[in-house]
Amino acid sequence: MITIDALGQVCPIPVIRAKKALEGLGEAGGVVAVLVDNDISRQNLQKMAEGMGYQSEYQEKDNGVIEVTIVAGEGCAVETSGTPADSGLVVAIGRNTMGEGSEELGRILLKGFIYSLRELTPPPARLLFFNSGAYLTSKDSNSIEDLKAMAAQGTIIQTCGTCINYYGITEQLAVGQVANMYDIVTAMAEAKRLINI
Amino acid sequence: MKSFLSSCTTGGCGAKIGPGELSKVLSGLPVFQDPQLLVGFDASDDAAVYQINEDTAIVSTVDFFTPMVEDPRTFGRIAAANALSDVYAMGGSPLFALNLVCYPEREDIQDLGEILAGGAEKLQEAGAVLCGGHSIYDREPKYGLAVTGRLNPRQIWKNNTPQPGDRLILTKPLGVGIVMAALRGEMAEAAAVEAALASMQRLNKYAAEKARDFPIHACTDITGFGLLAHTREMAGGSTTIVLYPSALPYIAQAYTYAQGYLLTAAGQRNRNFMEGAVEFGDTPFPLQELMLDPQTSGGLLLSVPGDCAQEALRAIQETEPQAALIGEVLPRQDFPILLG
Repeated sequence: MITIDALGQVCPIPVIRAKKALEGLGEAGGVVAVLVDNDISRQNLQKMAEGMGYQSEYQEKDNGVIEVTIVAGEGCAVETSGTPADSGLVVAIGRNTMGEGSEELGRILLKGFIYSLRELTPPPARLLFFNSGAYLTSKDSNSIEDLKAMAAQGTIIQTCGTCINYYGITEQLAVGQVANMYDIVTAMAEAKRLINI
Repeated sequence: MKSFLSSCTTGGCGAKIGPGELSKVLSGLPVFQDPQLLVGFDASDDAAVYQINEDTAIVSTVDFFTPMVEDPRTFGRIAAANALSDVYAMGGSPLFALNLVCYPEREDIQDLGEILAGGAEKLQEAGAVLCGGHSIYDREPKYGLAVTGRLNPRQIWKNNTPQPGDRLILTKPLGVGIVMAALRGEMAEAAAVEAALASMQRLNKYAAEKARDFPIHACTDITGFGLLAHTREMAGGSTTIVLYPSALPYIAQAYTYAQGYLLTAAGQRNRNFMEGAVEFGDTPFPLQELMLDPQTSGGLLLSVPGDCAQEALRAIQETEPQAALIGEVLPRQDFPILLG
């Protein structure tokens, strides 16, 4: 068991130290005990443990010390609806059809493409929509259900604000948030993998 | 002043006494009655408003806190922007201000000069006059201002008077608390820190000036209690506010940091305080944390009639490009806040 003395340290430090120790355990797993001196730190440690799918418990000791025990490893995972692993995949969609050729076919293909993105595990980290791609996040889009499902799984969906203004569909935006070009450039630059459509 | 940030147990609006704790003692105080006191502390509004004559009321507010950044001048600017914010949130214009200073004997006095210079810069930008102050020795540095402004008593923006059909505009991105926590943990990227510092130093003056052209029903500034607590306050007893988590403006990296559990104590205190007032449902964990994140010198949350909300947003975005429509106001439902 690894014991971390985080007495006198304020959040996020106890959580960071515990998380590093847990990550250091690797696949074999193990037990990390963290000593803190306030209940809010205890709550944050248990919030982190639950989110990462680990069991945790705590014990109040003398002098206001609280020991939080986190168990990581095989067979210890609890069911969690926590955040999925970050895929680092960013998909940039700058049009409302896919590929060259028939426009009708292009629309069908793009709908299928977005449907398939929804099936990826883990889901894409971020979807960026600009130019005529902005129509896909509007309420009349036939991909809206797929996009909402991905948003619920934690995928960040952003649509170019200039574009929805240009097309006059600002009021129709039905999923995700409005982004500016700085957001789009930052998301593309920080992407681990980037798909451009 | 390398010890500046690390010497403090907690910084910025994250240092505020929790809203739950505070209400325990405030409820024991007598309620002062004066027909000229248009807004007092019983309304838990951002500042007090006192009527002088038919056309003039003064708005008075005080705010101070410990440093959340290493650079003293930046800290001074942030503290002043934050103190001035309450005047803007009531719809007023600042007239003059007094400095409030707590400073350790052992620290370099030049750094205090830098803090005060940063504060003075922001007062100049606000068009207000610095006219004195008070300073004492203390274990940890603290700085802020008592600000007096003026407003038209017929055009006070209260914080809990939205109307069903209104839409909500938030003028600054969320996440400054999480980014500064990441900085404390030495895990913050420079671009994220830069965005947080710029946001905290930004006066709410510009958003308020744009908003004055519209019939604002309610307004508050977002502080250490986080977006959700302010939203609940705004909803009051007769409305329910629907927030759209996916529409929230936030500092991009803050989402990633929240996902990595860079969690603040104040954020968790706010979560405890909001228990029973909101159902998070499927809302992704990082967005929950962003809505609970303590904001130092946060943006204005404006409740605007639905028929002019888009126009108001466009006007505000001319100076505050990150402003966004983040929710709407309904007649009262089961919960004061619903997530849509």
